This record gives sequence, structure tokens and C-alpha cells, in this order.
Amino acid sequence: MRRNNLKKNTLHELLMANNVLKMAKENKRIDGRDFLDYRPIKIEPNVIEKPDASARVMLGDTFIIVGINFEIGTPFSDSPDKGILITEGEVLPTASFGAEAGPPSEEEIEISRVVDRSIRESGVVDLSELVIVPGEKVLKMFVDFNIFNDDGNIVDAAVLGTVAALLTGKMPDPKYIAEHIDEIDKISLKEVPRVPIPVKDIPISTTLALIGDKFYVDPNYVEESVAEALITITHTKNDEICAVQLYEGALGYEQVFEALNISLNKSREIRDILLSMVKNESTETNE
Amino acid sequence: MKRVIALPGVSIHKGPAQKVDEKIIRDARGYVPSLVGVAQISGKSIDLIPYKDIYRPVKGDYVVGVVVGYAPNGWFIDIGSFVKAFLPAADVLNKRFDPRKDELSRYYKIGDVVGLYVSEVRRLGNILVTVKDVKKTKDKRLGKLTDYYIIKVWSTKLPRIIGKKGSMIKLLKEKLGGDLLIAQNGVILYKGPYEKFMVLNKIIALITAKTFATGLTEYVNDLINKMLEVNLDKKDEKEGDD
Amino acid sequence: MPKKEKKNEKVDEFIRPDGRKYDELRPYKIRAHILKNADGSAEIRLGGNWIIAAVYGPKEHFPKFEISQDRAILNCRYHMNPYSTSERKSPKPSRREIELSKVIRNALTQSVILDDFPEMSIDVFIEVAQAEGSTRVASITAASVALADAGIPMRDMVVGCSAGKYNGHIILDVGEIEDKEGEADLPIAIMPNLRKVVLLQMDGKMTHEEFKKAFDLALKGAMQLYEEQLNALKNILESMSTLGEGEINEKK
Repeated sequence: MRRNNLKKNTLHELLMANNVLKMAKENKRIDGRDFLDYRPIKIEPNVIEKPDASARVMLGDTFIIVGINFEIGTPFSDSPDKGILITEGEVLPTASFGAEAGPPSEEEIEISRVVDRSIRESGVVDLSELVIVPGEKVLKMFVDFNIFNDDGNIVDAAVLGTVAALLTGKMPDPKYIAEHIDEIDKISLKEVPRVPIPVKDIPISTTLALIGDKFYVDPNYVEESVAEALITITHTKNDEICAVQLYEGALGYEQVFEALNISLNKSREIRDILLSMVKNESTETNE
Repeated sequence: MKRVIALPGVSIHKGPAQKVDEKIIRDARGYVPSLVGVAQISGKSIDLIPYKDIYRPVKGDYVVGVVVGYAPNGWFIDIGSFVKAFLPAADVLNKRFDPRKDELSRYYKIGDVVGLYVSEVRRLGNILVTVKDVKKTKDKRLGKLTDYYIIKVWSTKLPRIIGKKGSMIKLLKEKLGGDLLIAQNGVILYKGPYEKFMVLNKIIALITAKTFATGLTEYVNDLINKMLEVNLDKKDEKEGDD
Repeated sequence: MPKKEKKNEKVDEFIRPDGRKYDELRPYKIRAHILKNADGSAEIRLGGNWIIAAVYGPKEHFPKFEISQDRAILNCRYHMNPYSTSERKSPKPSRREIELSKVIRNALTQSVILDDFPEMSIDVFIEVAQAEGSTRVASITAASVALADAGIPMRDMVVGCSAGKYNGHIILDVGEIEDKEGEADLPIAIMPNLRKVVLLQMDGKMTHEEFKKAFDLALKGAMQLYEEQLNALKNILESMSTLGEGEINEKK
């Protein structure tokens, strides 16, 4: 995602990259993890009260907040019977030395779109249930995620946070709005009764970095910076693939299927962790 | 000697003082630290041990940096200070650099880790480094470094990692063996087994997190023994499984 | 004298939308050093406000033609996250955010000893994760702790607090409802040891007498928050001075 721009790395990151490459030859990782291990995951739903849904995710030292807001909008003409999903992600300038303030970069837009696809294509939210009046009024769902500290693998953290927020958040009841459609200009959306968000699936993305012919699951910032290839694969709860992105580099034909298999196995494991944390609202995994 | 917490803007001493750390301001409020840290007041001198401070290179410092760019006649090296340092090509080639014949990347490539001496600091924005053994001590690794594991800490943490009269570093060398080297810009080099490096890594993290604690050396001694025991046990188990 | 006491009693009885007394701050907590990558960082929670500040630098300034040859440049960005307000906020910086970035930069610049770092720049990034009134002064309070955490030399801390007028009463630490429905809002930031005001804005209408009252009240609140700033920094130094049994178990 952010390769070979040495001006944007600190000396610390450059030296750690050297460790990653040295240890790759010794079949080790810099933090002592196994190649297939995730870092500790901590998911806290409802960290913020203002939006309709929210969650904070800590994936190792990667720290991200997701907020979801609903607004009333007009459906797209090619899908009059569907609500609208908009996903926007920003790597805040607080996130790393190399992160910059300003309009979203190519990478930030790419990341947002991968998170968007993971959510949209899995059908996690049944958009047809967001319709108020077909062809005229629908709910518009904004998923906003911000990276406060970037220690790699932003996408997996963002998908986890989005799903956790959806599972625990509430949305304004489209039926209520439909019944009061004549007063639509007078009612404040915040006063509309809330209903659970219609969640149909639990998509899980898993990101792998290829370094020296070996896949590193859940790569950290430095591992990402030296990766020869970087790929995200998202699975639905029925083990279907619903989003794939090869951010950069090249994979051998066989490596594609190796990555798919690793990803499938990890997605089942991470889904269990997510569900256990959302149930208890906030707990921590063991390493 | 009196040790007090130093906080920016909070006066720590009102009476007269002669030798005062440059990070302490003198004004109507008395002696006022400009940084967070611990101040030591003894007799008429006031010292400030800052909690964090960027590395300020001094001529003669041994540093470890990374090559980040080529200039027409040398390399730009990141040594973790304000600006990139400059390594003249002539120093490495040991002769006049001829851009028509000599190709810089044949010597050092971008991303290479290099051991260096600071040869000149003209002002903040102009730092020269060299790979020549200007000190002739022969105990520093100069030029390209390939086989080392590396740890980077704030350079203000180094006095604790070295310890009083070198007690901490001596302890670490004794317990971990291998080749352990400290560069003044906060880089720690280690050549030895991975398992021992991981122990070192955790110990350094502890020392940097507990900079102002007393009795750190004894504490680290106990901890390192326990960690090495656990490590050896693990190794035995693995060998048993095989 | 009795007359005055009576007046005070009346003021004490007055209950604000969130149940506070006129001179009461919302619950607050400041923590330093909360982000791993930044050179310095801090967060503040003040009522429902949750603000995170990060500092990077001093570092080489780009572009080169903009450098200042005798002192460092302090950059500052105040930014509200899309989910920080009741209605979704566009991530694009608004005119309000640009103005606040500027006045916050001025406030922090007064304290930082910039002459120590010619040709360098220091970046301060403020992210409002949740806003509930008086974010600009809370932002300054957090940013100053983040600068101290980054080891940037400063003459004094900078701490901010607001006062205002709501339903005819002068109040401390203006909350969201009071900000929307109140008559006036007076955010200030000070360097408490140097006794200087470094941010001073007012919005609304107050008499000179009310202004003086509000100003004194804001000063009082700022001094309380200043203690909390020092506590946040002391907590770090203390954790660096104590060896707990916890570490050994953890490291195993």
C-alpha cells in the first residue's frame, strides 16, 4: 500500500523493514507471531453515541473508529427499490509519519472501495429493507471509518468495525417514516423510532502479505511496506468469496489458491471472535 | 541531590544556580523546565533528563542509518535526526569520485543499513557522516551492516540501556552473548540467535518504559533469567517433539 | 453584603440542561501518549467530547521554499470526524474548521520554543471523534499535552476553557445545548504560569460586566483543567518510575 517511498518512512520503520527481511530468511516474524496468526483483536461497539452505529477496533496497534449514519435520500434510478450505501474511509494524519492531511489519496480511495465491496457484495445489509417509498425515498447509509493509528491491515480492521457497528446499531424505522411521509419535512430523523439494522451476513476480510514466497497473515505496517504482494479476500458466513483485491505485486497461479484457502480458514476463526465480542459488547481476545 | 518531576512551565527552583541545563529557562518564575522529564538539583547545578528528545548529532558520534537517496556525489542517509545526513562518495571509494566511471549503487543501495561516524555538524540542517574509522578504536562496525537484528529507541533512553558505568549493557552482553552494539542515535545492533534477540527486544522495551525507575539493573537481571529459562524450556519441548 | 449573598444563592439554585451548577465543569479526563506512531499524543474527554491530538516533528519542512530560516513552523489541523456530530459531517474541511485550525495554531505557537529548530516544522493534528460543545478549547488542552509528550520544548502549557451566557446566567464550560440555545459563548486559552491569554473569541452578546464575570469563570475552569494536564504528564513519569510485578508475569 505504501511502498518504496522512503521519505515517508521514519528511521525506525526503515530499520524494522530490515529486520523483517532478515527474519524472512529464518522463517520468523518480527513480533514473534506465527505466519498464520492475527494480532490481538479488541472490538468495542457503541464507542460513540452521536451516530446510529459505531465501533472501535484495535488490531494490535492499529486503531480505527467506524461510525454509521442514516439519512433520507432519493434512490438511484437503476435501483429504485434499494437503499443506498456509501463507504468513505480516511487515514487520518495522526495515523503515521507518512500519512497526510488533505483530500483522500489513491490508496485511501482503494481501501474504502475494498471495504465497501466486502459489505455490499456480501449483502450484509439488505438494502431493499431501507426503502421508504419505492422509487422516491430511501434510507442512505453512510459508513465512515477513520484510522487514528496505522500499524497495518487497515482493511480487516475496518470490515470488523463496520460489521460490529451494524450488528449493534439501530436505524430509523423506514416503515414509520413511510407512515408519516406527509410530515417528512417537519420530523427530525433523530426522533424517528429505531429498529435494528437488517443484518443478513457476517463478512470477514483477511489480508495477506507475500514476503519471500511465504504468506504473512494480518501484516503489520512494516511487513506491508516490504511485501512483494498484498491481497485481501473477503468471505461470507457461507464460505463464499465476496470481495478480492490484489493491491500490488504479483502472485503465482497456485499462490492465488493458497491465499484463498488460508483466508477461508482464518475468516471462520475471526468471525467467531467478532461474534463473541459483539455479544459481550466489549471483551479482549487472548494472544 | 534532589530529584523532582519536570513539567513545562512549572518552576522547580528559585534560589541561585550556576550550572543549569540548557533545556531549563530562567525568568521571573525562577528556573523553569521546557520539557517533561526528571530534574536533578544538587548544590548549584540543575540537570534535566528529558522523557523524550530528538537525536541531536554531535561530531564523533557513532550512528547507524539507512540509505534513503542518491546525490550527485554521495548518499543521503537517514540517521533519525532532523534532516538527512550526507555521506560523500569519496569517503567510501577512498579516492576522488568520478561520476563517469563510478556508479553509487554499486557501493550502497537505497534501503541499506550503514554504520557511520558523524564527521561534521555545521548547523541543524547540515550533517556530514563518514564510514572511515575516524576514532581508530576499531570496536565499531562501519559501512554496510547485513547480519544484525536491530532495535530503535529514543536516544534519550540510551543512558539507561547502558546503565551506571555500563552495568546494564554489561549484564545484557553477559546473559545474551553474541555481538551487542549501541549507536548514539538510539540504534541497538545484535548478532546472535533469534530467540535471544526476542528476549533482548522485550528487555529493551521494559527499560524504555521504565526509564526513571530505581533498581532497574537488578530487576532486569531477574527478569532475563526467568525469560531465558522459559525460552530454554520451550526449546527442549520442541526438540522432544521432533 | 447580605444582598450579595442572596444573589449568589439564587445563582446556585439555577440548574443547567445537564444538571450542572453554573460554575461546574463537565466530567473530564486527559490521557497522554495514547497513539503508538505519533511522536506525541493525548486524548481529552470532557463531557461527551472525545478529542485526540497527535504531534509529529520537529522534522524537515517541505516544500523547501516555505521554510523559515530562523525558527520552526508549527502546522495545525483541527478536524471533525464524520460521525462526531448528530448530523453526518462531510470529511472535507469546512470554513469553521479552517478558522479554528488557525486560532488554535496561534495559541499553541505562543508556548512552543520554535527558535530551537530553524528550518524545521512541527505538525499538530487534532481529531474530534465526538463533539459536544467547546471543542476548540478542549482541543487546545489536549494538543498542548501532546506537544509535551512529544518532547517539544515549551515555555508553559496552554490550556483552554469556555464560559458563556445561558438563560441570563453566566456559566462555565458551555455544553452543546447551551451553545445552541445560549446568548453568548466565550472560549479562552491561557498560559497559566505566564498569565497570558492566547485564544480569545466571543460569539453572542454580553455586557462588559458579564464579560468580566465570564472571563474570570473561564480562568477558574482552565486552572482546573491545567491540573489535569499536569496529572496526565505526571502519570506517564510515574509509570516510568515504578517497577510492578505485573511486568514479569506479562512478559512470560
